[in-house]
Amino acid sequence: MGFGPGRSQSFFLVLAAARSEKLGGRGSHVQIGYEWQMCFFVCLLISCWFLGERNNLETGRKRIPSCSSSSKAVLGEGTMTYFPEEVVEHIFSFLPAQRDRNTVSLVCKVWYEIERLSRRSVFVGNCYAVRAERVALRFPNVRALTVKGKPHFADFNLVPPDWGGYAGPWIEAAARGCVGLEELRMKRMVVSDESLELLSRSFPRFRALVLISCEGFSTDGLAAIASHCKLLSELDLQENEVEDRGPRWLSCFPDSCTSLVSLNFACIKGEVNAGLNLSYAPTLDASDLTKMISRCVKLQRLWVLDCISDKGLQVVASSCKDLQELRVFPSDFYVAGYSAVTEEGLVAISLGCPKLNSLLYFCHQMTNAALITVAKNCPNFTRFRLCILEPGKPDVMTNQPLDEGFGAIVRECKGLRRLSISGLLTDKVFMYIGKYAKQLEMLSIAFAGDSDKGMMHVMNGCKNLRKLEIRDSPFGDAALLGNVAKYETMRSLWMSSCNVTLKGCQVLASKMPMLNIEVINEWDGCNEMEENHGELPKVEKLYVYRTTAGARDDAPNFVKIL
Amino acid sequence: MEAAVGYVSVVDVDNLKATELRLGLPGTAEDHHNHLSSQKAMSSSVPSTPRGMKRAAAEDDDVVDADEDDEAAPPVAKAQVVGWPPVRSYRKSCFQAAAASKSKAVSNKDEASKNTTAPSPAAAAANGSLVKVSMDGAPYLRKIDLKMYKGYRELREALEVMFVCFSGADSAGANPSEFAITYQDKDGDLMLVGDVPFDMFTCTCKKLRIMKRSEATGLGSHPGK
Repeated sequence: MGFGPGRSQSFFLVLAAARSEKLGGRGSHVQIGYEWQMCFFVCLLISCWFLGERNNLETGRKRIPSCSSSSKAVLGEGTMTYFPEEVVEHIFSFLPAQRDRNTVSLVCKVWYEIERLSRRSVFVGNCYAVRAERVALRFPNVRALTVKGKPHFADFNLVPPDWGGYAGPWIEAAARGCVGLEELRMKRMVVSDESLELLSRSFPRFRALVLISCEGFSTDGLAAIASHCKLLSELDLQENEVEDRGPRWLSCFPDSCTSLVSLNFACIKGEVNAGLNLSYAPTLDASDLTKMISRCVKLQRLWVLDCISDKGLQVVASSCKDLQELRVFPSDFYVAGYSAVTEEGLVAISLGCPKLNSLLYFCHQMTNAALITVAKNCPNFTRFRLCILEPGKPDVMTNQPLDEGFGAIVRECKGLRRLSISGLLTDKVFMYIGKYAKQLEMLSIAFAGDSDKGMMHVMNGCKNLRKLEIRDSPFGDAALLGNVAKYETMRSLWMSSCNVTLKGCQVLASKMPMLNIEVINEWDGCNEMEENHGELPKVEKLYVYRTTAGARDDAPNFVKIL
Repeated sequence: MEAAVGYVSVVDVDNLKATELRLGLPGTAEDHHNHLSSQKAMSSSVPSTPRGMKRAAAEDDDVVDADEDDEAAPPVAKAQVVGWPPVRSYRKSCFQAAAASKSKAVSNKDEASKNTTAPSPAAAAANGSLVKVSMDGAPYLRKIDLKMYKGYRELREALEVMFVCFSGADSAGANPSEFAITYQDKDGDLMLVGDVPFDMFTCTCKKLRIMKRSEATGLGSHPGK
């Protein structure tokens, strides 16, 4: 049999259906990239031909009847019929991104079923966006699960303790429904020893545990993991609050344990060619440091303290031509302190390391000229985070806001996905961001902007925005409510110490029932409202996120969910 | 700048001192070298944002400018904002230990030359985190271990439990919000509890004082921003 025009038509119709109809699933607006469409099409071609050749052979494989009647109406009679499940599943395996798999699951019920049963890896960016049971029920054969809890600003103590983000429900749901689980990654979640114990006993093939910025457990929980996870090959603990009950847990690894390949806690000890983390070593002499780095010519990732100084960064720039990621941390946290790195170090790096795509840079001063130069030299930035320690500090040479500098960054770096801005910034920088940062997914704002217009530029312009976190900026209800539909396309919004009022939040809640609006007030705000002398009470901390799970039932009393 | 609050240094000094209204913890020595207006200039250079920097600016106006020798002042003024700079507390606490041992070397040199009541940060760290807690009007003080608390909420709740018996005399049913919790930091300044990350607070807090909200109006209007 041949591959006639009928089948190719049906294929494109299927794609159109995927885009326009919402057949089950959560209905998020995602699209398969063009390349994958072509790949998909090719695979479909091949499989159709394959089918055609084998049409006469009775293989006895399970065949799927044609799709549901609703899609039949769209597709036309007798088109998408009789694909063996394995073929469709095989085609799906070419879709690596979760987003694309989510999309194919929207096409019809049959594809939804095939996709969900063959899904091996699930990423949950916000543990409160969906119920754990629902995930476990939908993907019973998942092997790798990633769940994230608290909002990013929890790293900087802006989220009160006991806010939430409990790992328990996730581990329990997986223990009930996904016994083939092999890998669990959690970030900013509260994990108890009991949960770790349950984890260690529930998954016979469990081999990798990664906990980043988590808390709530002790070395006893780790002992359980070490004792019972016979196939453990990776245990990665980064920056967690672990109650140390002694080193006994280390001896819990069985003597016969030959499977552990990667053990990593506290500091990341990378292989010197791939990555070097010296950011916890303040006593390292600057010249020794630079001597060492100058020998690491293949270095791709470098984390250092600002003690390295501009001179040291120049050495890095001339030696490490393969550098892709650089993080320069502050050794002095005081706002008006001193740092040995300035804008000059950053410019030197941009000149010497053309492959640089990820930057986190703490410093005490910056200029527009430097940022413009950096943008020209390194147009490949995907992550650019600049933190000038003094809030609202202008260009140190011209005393102007840093709007133009950051504007250059977003204009030149067309692939920018993550951006953190600092220094003196007006609404203009947000105009630039809204206009140019079309791939931007995460934006962090602190002490910036003049008016609601600033935030509006971002909400209206950044088409791919997923996470927006703002602190101490003059954005109020008008900005919050200016584009309410946008929140449905985003994972979350955080606003603290801004000008949003309770009334504004209530309006948002009434307009968008699929969002959870969390008003967080740690110090029992009723007295504050009186003292405001009749002004509308301002919301101290606001966390907005889309969810299918409704209001969560584990919220503490200082969190009000509207 | 002369002292904002006048106090005489002549006749009947002791009696007058006992009754004067000033910023300082009960029992604090008058010639307190560390009672400084160190937050003077740098706070004003930080732009006034909606709420974040309010506290630092407010203190500026109220701290008593005594006849201090600025050589005892810390090298730079601190404008400390909650959650800033955006560095994980894990990383900050690693450096607090390093900074403490550095400053111990410095303050040991100065110990001979000045009569300071504030112990060096390193010594405090070595002593653990037991601090005295006083409450205005209470007949005796309490002592607590700051390390026992995970955050400001727990601390506040514990203090409420401890001192509820003393506040009952004033009103039927003590309202916790009538009181402000303040502390003396390692420079001897009176600060409102809640501004800095909790870990930083436990390192710098030397004494706690629970004062009536009406007395605390000079420190800033809101309890927990």
